[in-house]
Amino acid sequence: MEKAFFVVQTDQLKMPEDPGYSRLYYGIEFCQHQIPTKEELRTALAFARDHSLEFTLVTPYVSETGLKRLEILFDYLRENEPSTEIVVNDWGVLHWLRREYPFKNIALGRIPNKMKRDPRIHHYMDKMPPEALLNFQDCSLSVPAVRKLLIELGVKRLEFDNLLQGMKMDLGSDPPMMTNSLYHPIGYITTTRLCKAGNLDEKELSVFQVLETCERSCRNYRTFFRNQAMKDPIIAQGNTFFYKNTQLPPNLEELGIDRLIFEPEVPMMLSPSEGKAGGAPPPW
Amino acid sequence: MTEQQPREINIVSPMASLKEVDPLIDAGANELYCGIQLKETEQGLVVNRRPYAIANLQSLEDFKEAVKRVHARGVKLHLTLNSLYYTPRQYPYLERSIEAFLEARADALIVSDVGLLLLLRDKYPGIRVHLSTTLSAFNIHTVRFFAEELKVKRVILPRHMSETEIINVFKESPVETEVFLLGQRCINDDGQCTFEHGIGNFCEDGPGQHGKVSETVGCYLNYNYFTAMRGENSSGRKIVEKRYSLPTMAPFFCAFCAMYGFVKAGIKYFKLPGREDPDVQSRLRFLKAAVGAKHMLLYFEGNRFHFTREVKKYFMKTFELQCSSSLCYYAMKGNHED
Repeated sequence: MEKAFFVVQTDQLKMPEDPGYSRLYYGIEFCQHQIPTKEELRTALAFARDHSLEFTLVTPYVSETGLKRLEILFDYLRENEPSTEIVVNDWGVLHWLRREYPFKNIALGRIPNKMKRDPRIHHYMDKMPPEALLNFQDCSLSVPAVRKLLIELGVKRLEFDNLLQGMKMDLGSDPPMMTNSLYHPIGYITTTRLCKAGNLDEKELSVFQVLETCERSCRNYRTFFRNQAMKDPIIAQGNTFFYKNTQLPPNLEELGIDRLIFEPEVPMMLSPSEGKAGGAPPPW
Repeated sequence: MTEQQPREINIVSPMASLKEVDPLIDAGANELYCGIQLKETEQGLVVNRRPYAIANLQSLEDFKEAVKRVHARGVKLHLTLNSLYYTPRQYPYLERSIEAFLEARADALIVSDVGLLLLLRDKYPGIRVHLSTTLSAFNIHTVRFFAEELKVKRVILPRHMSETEIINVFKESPVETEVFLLGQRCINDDGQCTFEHGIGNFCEDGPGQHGKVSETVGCYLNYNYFTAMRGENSSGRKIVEKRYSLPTMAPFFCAFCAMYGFVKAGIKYFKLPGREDPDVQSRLRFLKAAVGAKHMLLYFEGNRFHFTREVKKYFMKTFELQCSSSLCYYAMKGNHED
């Protein structure tokens, strides 16, 4: 089992305490305002090189603005690190990469891999008809035609969240099982371009307004949402809501999962001011 | 805009029951869309993103009858098969719905799932497919992907875009474009959200928005929350919590001003959400308001400033509300005095 760890900003680049990690995931899935600069990408690549780590660039869903930011990174990688693995979370980015870039190691990220992530499901599992539960434990990648299409599009790897209700899906054998990854211990629930935690200095900003620019003020705040139907609180960080699941599924092999992607932190930017007044890292 | 011919503007309205056919068409709907909730899928295999009885026709027979009545009035009817994804277990129900669609000779399917798009491309190539807003076509490459690889004929763009982004995508799009015009919009993005719009009506628990808690949209639940802060700047905490305390889904947003730019660019299809609204009169009210705005623009010869001024007056008179950027579907800075 390959062990990777996921870092979204260069000031968090450090090896996890436990050994055995051989790959660095670097980048962002949920917010195009947090796409790294070319300089930050180079820093992350250098860290990976210095620690003998394989490197994966993670990319978010994007508008035209995000495409321009990604273009800078993709152009740099084409020239300097063309064997880099790239995680795509946008069908358009996948299409674009296939048409215009030579990258051969493409992974379909967890956002386009739609699954039932509502944390209430865990609370209702015992009350569901068996057929409903099985459906909630499955996803559309069980449909062979979908995997065939992805293979045609050059996708080599599929990525999954660790579902609270368990995972029962048939990801082989025709077409043959692809390589699969599992994020843990944090899964995502929902995300938005109408970010409530962004641009906090703009008092007049409507919360229902798309942020065309962002000063990343979300990095200082983390909000926890509790409801009796959920075992653990939902974590809101930046424009995205997350759940926590520390229990790995027992059927990793059956699911074809050969890579675990450890998230030492919620995969969104945090303020680097840890240690200053009030600066203890928010719990999760 | 000085041409004398009326501009082509089509209002696409939701419909949730047979009895709405004539009132909606009388009110000016150019196209209708609806879902079907098959009884046998209610145990967790629903093939519809709005799994509530009030949002859907209740049988394939009702759907066929609806198509007959709608076509008799010269209007198109589209069917939603728009769950965010389908597992293999759901395909028998999907195929039954598709067969009913073909038998009824309805006009287009509104689809959200790549697997279903593949099924339609490969097994039912004659069916016209519209890409649901939940496939998150935020950029032109996504539109091209679904048009070229999966043969969709129309793309319904996401609600979380700016007017400029929409127009830029439209200008490059090889297929028809549909945008939202009026009505509700959630704080979370339709396509990227995995909060359930109802876990299933087999769960027994307390009352929620559409019945029980398990049938309530996840972001509608009552939450206790607290905000942890990092760093020295504490001033934002109150703003964050105030923003989180606001409803996640507001029932009312308006894009009448933006309609000018959309129509000038060439966008012809304007969608109204709300098939889950239990109040038929509310659905009709929104439709009539949209049709009113459409008629203001059909022959309008002034510039955007003039249209905005006129349509704001119309908005305030129609809804008895002050126009504000907080009600703006595609919020644009500087377009409001507030």
